[in-house]
Amino acid sequence: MKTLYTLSEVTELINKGEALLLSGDERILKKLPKGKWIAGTIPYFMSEKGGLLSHNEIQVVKLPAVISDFTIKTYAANELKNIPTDYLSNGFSYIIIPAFSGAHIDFAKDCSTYDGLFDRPLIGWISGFDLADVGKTDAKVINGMTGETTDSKAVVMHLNLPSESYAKLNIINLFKQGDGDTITFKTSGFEMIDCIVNGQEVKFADYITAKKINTQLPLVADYMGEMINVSFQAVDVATGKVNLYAPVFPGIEYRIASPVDDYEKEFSAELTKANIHPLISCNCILNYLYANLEGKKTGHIVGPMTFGEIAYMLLNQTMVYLTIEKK
Amino acid sequence: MIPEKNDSRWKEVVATSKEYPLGALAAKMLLMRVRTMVKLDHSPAKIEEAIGIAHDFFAKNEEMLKGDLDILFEKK
Repeated sequence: MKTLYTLSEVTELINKGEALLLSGDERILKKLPKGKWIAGTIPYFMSEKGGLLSHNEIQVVKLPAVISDFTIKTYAANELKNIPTDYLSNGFSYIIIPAFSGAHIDFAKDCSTYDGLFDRPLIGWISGFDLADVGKTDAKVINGMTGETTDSKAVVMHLNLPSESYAKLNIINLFKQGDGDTITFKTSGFEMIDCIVNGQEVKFADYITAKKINTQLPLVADYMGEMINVSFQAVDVATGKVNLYAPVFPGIEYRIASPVDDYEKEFSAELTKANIHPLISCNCILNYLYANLEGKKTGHIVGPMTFGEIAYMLLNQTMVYLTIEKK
Repeated sequence: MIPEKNDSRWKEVVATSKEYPLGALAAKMLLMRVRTMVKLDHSPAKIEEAIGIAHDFFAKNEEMLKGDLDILFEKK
C-alpha cells in the first residue's frame, strides 16, 4: 500500500478535501495548503519501500470516508490535561507533540493523572528531525486547518467513528524484562542521578558503567503483563546524570531488557501472531537505528519512526497501532 | 454489573500484586497507575481514592471492558 507521497500528490489530496494524518520533513510540510490535516515533523519512515530517511516525501494516513466527524485543536503544556474532555463519544484521538518541548515533558510525566485519559484510545507520537540536524532545528507540529506551526504545543485530532465501529489501541514491544537487577527510583524524571538497585541506593551512572550495561536495551517495567520501556539517551559519568527518553516513576520496578537478536525477524513473528491491519501505526527511531531497519521491513506495518510513541502514555522503542473494529 | 466500591474485591484489584490476564491496554495502564499510588501510600484514604478511580473508569467504559471485568471479578 502506498504511504509515501510527493508534495504535489499530497497537495492534490488536501485540495480534494481528504482528511489526512501526515509526517515529514518540516521544509516540505510547510509548503502544503490549508485543509483537513495535521502533521508532525520527522524524516524517518517505515514504508512500503522499507525503512528510509527522506526529506522530500510525506507519509500519509488517509482517513476513511466514514470518519467525517472530527475536530483539531492545539494544546499548550498547561492545557494538556483538557485533552480527555475533548474526546468524542465513540472515537479516538491522534496526538503529535514536538520533541523536547514543555508539552512533551509535561505530558510524559503527568498524563496518567489526567481525568478520563484512558476513556478513549489516544494514539500518537513525538515529532523530531533529522539526527544530522541536532542543535540546528526544533521538532514541530502543524495544524493544517489553521496553518499554525508550533514547537511548543501538542496538536490533536479528535475523531468520531460510526456507531457500529470502535477503535482499538495496542502495542507491539519486543523487549521483555531481563533476569537482572531490580531498579527503582525515589522520584520521577527524565534525568536521574540516583537509583535503588535491589534495595540499595547507588549512583545510576556508576551502576550502568560498572555493570557494562548495553544502553541500547531499555529499562522495562511490567504494567499488568504489558512491557513498558524507558530508553537511555545518555550516560554522563562526570556529572553523574543519566538522561532518558521517557520518565521513570517511583513505585515501579524496572529491569534492563533482554537482548532482541533479530528485530526484523522477531517483529514479523509477533505480527503474524497478532494478525493486525492497523489504520495508524508508528515505531521508534531507536528501533530504526539500533536494529538497522533502513532498507528493511517490519512486515506490512508502516508509519513514522518517531522520537517517542504514545499509546495513552509516552512509550519508547515500541510499535503502537490502532485498528478499527466492528462492535 | 460492576461491583460497588465497597465490595472487598476492589481492594484486591488495587492494593495487591495479584496478576490478572487483562486484554485492554487502557485497563492495564489505569490499574498500574492506581496500584502504584497505593504502593507509595497504603493509607485507607489512598486505597479509597484508588478504588474510586478504577471504579469510575470501568463504570464509564463497561461495555468495552466487559471481558476484563469478568476476569477481575472472576466470572472467567
